[in-house]
Amino acid sequence: MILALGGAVLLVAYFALAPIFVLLYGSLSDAPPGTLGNITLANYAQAYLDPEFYPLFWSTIQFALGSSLLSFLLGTFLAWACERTNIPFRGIVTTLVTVLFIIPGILETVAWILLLSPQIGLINLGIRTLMAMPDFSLNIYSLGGMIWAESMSLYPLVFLLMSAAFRSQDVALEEASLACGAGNFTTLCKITLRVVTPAMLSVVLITFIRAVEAFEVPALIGVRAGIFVFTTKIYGALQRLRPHYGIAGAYSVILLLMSTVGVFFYYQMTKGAEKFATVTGKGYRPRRMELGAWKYATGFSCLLIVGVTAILPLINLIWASLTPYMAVPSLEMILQLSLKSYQELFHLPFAQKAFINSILLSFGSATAVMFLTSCIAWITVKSQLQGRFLIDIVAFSPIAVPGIVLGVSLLILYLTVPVPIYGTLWILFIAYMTKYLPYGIRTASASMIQIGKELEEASMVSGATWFQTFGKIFLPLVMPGFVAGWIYIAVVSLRELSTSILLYSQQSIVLSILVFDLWESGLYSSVSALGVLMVLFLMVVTWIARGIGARIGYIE
Amino acid sequence: MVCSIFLRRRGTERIKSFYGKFLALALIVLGMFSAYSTLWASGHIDIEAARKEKKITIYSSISLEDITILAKAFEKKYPWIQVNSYRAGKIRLGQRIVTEARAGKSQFDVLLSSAFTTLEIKLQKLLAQYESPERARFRAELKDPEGYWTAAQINTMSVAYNTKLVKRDEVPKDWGDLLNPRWKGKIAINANRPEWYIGLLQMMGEEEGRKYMKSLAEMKTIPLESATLADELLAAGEYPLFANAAPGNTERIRKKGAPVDWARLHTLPTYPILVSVSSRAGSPNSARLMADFLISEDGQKVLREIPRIPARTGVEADPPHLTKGVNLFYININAMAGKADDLEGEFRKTFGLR
Repeated sequence: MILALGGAVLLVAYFALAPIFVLLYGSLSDAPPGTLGNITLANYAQAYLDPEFYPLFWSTIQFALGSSLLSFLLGTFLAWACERTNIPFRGIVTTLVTVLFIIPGILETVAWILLLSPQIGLINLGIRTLMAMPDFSLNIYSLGGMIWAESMSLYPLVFLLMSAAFRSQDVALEEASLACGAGNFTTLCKITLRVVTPAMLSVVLITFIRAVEAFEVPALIGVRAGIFVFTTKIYGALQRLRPHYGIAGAYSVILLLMSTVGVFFYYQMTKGAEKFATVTGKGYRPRRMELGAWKYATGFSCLLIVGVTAILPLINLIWASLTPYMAVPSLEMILQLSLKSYQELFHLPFAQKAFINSILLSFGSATAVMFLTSCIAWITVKSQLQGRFLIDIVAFSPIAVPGIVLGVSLLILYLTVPVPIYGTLWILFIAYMTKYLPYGIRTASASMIQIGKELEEASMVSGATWFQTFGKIFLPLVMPGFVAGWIYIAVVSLRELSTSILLYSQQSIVLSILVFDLWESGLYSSVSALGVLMVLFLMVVTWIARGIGARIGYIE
Repeated sequence: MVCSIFLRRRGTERIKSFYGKFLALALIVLGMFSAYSTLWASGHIDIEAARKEKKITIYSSISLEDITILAKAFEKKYPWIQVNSYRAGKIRLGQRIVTEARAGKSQFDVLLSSAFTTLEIKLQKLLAQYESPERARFRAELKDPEGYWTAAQINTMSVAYNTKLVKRDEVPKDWGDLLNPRWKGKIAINANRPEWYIGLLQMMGEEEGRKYMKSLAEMKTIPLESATLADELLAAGEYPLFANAAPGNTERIRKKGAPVDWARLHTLPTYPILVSVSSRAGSPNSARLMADFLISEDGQKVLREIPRIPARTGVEADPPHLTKGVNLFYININAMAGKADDLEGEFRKTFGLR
C-alpha cells in the first residue's frame, strides 16, 4: 500500500514539478533557455516593474471573476436541475452541455463571433429583423462579450463536476429538512448547496485560474475590443523569434502563487471533512426533488439556456461545414450548400495516424490521471499525513502554467535531460498528464470528501487489505467523480493544442494539430466539418463512458 | 600550453619533428575540408550517399497539406527517400529549431519558411551554403548571394476588399488611398504578417513608411491575429477592407464563390518563402536533392498546383494575373537580418496589437 501510494506521489510530483522547475530556473536565469546562466532577478524586474502590467492584471481579474461567476451560476443551476429535480428534458440538456465542450476551442470562439458580431452576428441580425429593433446590437467585442464567450467554454466543466457532486448526495439530510417543514427552496439553500461546498469551491478555483490564463477569447475577441489581459503579456514574451522565456516564467509565478493560495483556502474551508460526507454506511439513494408546477418553468429555462449556449454554436458549426466560405445565412448561400468539405477530409494527410494517436493519448492520459489522482486524493482526504495539503498543491500546480509555457518548458526539459522521449508519443503523454493533473485532483478530492469513513472502517474491520478497500469500496463510490473527470480530460485533451504544437512530430501527430493546420491553410469549412465529426464521435464516447461508469460504480 | 609542456620535456629535435608533422597534418585536413565544403557549396551531390540516407526531415511553416503534396512528388522522383515533416507557424518553428540546436539535437535537414524565420536561423549559423545549379533561373532578389537560401514561393501583399461593400470607384488604387476618412474603423489588419510592415517601410523609405503606418493606425484599424479569420470575415462582410491580405489567398476564396477581390495597387510588396539546408543535416545529400527539387521546374509546377505562387522565372502563377500586370517590390531580405524581431515588435505596437 505504501508502495502504491508513494509511487503515485512520486510520479505526480515528477510530472508536476519538473517543468515548473525548468520554468522557475528560466525565470531566474539570464541565459537563453536550455543553457546554464547566472542567477538574476532582472526578468522579475522587467516583468513586474512594467507599468503596463498592472492595468492589464486588473482587466484580467475582472474578466476572470466575471467568467468564473457566470459559468458557476449556469453550470450549477443546470447540474442541480438535471440531477436533483424532476424536470422534463433532463437527458437532452445533459447531452447538449457535453457537446458544448467538445467543440474545438477556436471553432467555438469563432461561432460566438459569428453570432454576436455587431456587423454580421446572427443573433443581432435575427433580433433586428424579427423584433423590428434596427438599432439592437449585442457587441461581442467588449468585456461582457469576452466574459460570455469564456463562460461558454467553462460552464460545461462546472456542470460535469457539480453533477457528480449532486449525484453522490445522501438524501437523508434533505429529507430531515423537509420533514422539519422547510420548503424546497430553503432546503436547497441551507442543505444541498452547503453540503456540496467542496465541489463548489473546487470549480470556482479551477474556472477562475483557467480564465486568468485563457488564450483564445482574449486573442480573437479581446484584441479587437482593445482589452488586453495577462496572457497577452505572456504570449507577447513567447511569440517572437527570440522568445523572452525568463519573463514568461516570471509572469507565470503569479499564477503559481494564486493556485497555491487557492488550494490553501480550499483546505481551510473544507476542514473537518466529515461534515461533507454524504455517502455513508447508511446507504443512499439520490432522490429527486419534486418541483410540482415549477418543473415546467425550470425545465424550459434549462432548455433555453442550452438552446442558446449549445445549439446555436452547433448549428453555426454545421452551417460552416456545409458552406464553401464564411457567410451569413441567406437564400443565395443555401443554394451553395454541399458536403464537399467532408469529402475533402478523406484526403487529409496523416488523418488516420492523428486519429489513432489522439485516441491513445486522450484515453490513456485520462485513465492514468484519474487513477493517480484518486490515490493522491485518498492521501489528502482520508489519511492523517502531516502536510498532506502540500501534495495537493503540487498536484494542482500545473494549472498555473499556461499551455504554451508548459510546451516550451517540456521542450527544454526533454532536450536537456537524457530521457529519450523527444519526438515520440511519450512526450505528449507526459505533457497531457501534467496539464490535466489539476482537473483530476480537484474532481477526485471533491468526490473523496463525500465518502464517509464508516465504509472504509467497516471494510478494514472485515479483514480487507487496503487494496481491496480501495478497489471495492472507494473506487465504485467515487465513480461519478471519476467518470466526470475522465470524460472531461479525454475530451479536452483531444482539443489540446498550445502544448502539443511544440512537442509533436510526424509520428506523434494528433487531431488538434490537424485542426489547427487546416485552419491556418484557410480551410475553414473543412475545419468545421472535422469539428462536427469530432463532436459526434465524442458524444458516443461520453455516452459509453457513462455507461461503463454506471456498471462499475453506484450511479442511478 | 601543449607547446610549453613539450619545450620543457623534450629536446629541440623532437619539437621540430612534431611541429613538422602537425603542420603537414593540419594543412592536409584544411585542404580536405575546404575541398569538401567547396564541393558542398558548389552543388555536388553524392547520389550513392543519398541512397544510404533513406530519410529526410523537412521543417516548414507552410501547411501540412501543402507540404505533403510536395513531399509526395519528391518521393515519387526519389522512391528510396522517406520524407518526415514538421509544421508550425513561422515563430514557433524558429523557436523549436533554435532550442533543438542548443541542446545539440538538431532534427531538420531542410527548412521551408518565410524569410522572417530563415534569416534568424541563418544568423544562428544553422544553415549550410548550397549553390544549387537550379538557382540560375531565379532573380537576384530571390536568392542569397552567399548561397544560404533560395526562394521557393513568393507572396504578394495587397488590399483585399468585399465586392458587395466596396463600389468599383471606391477600390483603392494606391496605399495612400487607405487613409481616406471613409474607411475609418473599417480596415482589418492581420497581426501575423509583419512582412507587410517591413516591406512598406523598405518601399516608402523608413521615415515616410513609419509616418504612413502611424496615420493608418489612427484610422482605428481592426486587428486580427489569424490570417484565415481575416480572410473569412472579409468574405462574410464583417468589414469592407483588409489591408495586408495575400492575393494568393484571396484568389483561393474567390474561386469558391466568395464576394472578394484584391486591389491592383500601384506597387505590391512581395516576400518570399525560402528553402534552405541545415548545416547539421543528418541527411545532407538528400537535403540537397530536396532543395534542388523544390526550386526545379517540376517542383515549381507542383507548387503552383497547390496553389501557391512559384518564385522561379518562367513558371507562371495560377491565375497569371497574380504576378502579371502588377508592379512587384521584392523585399530586400538580407537588409532585414537581425532587425526582423524588432520591426515585428514595432509593427504590433503601432497597431495596438500587443
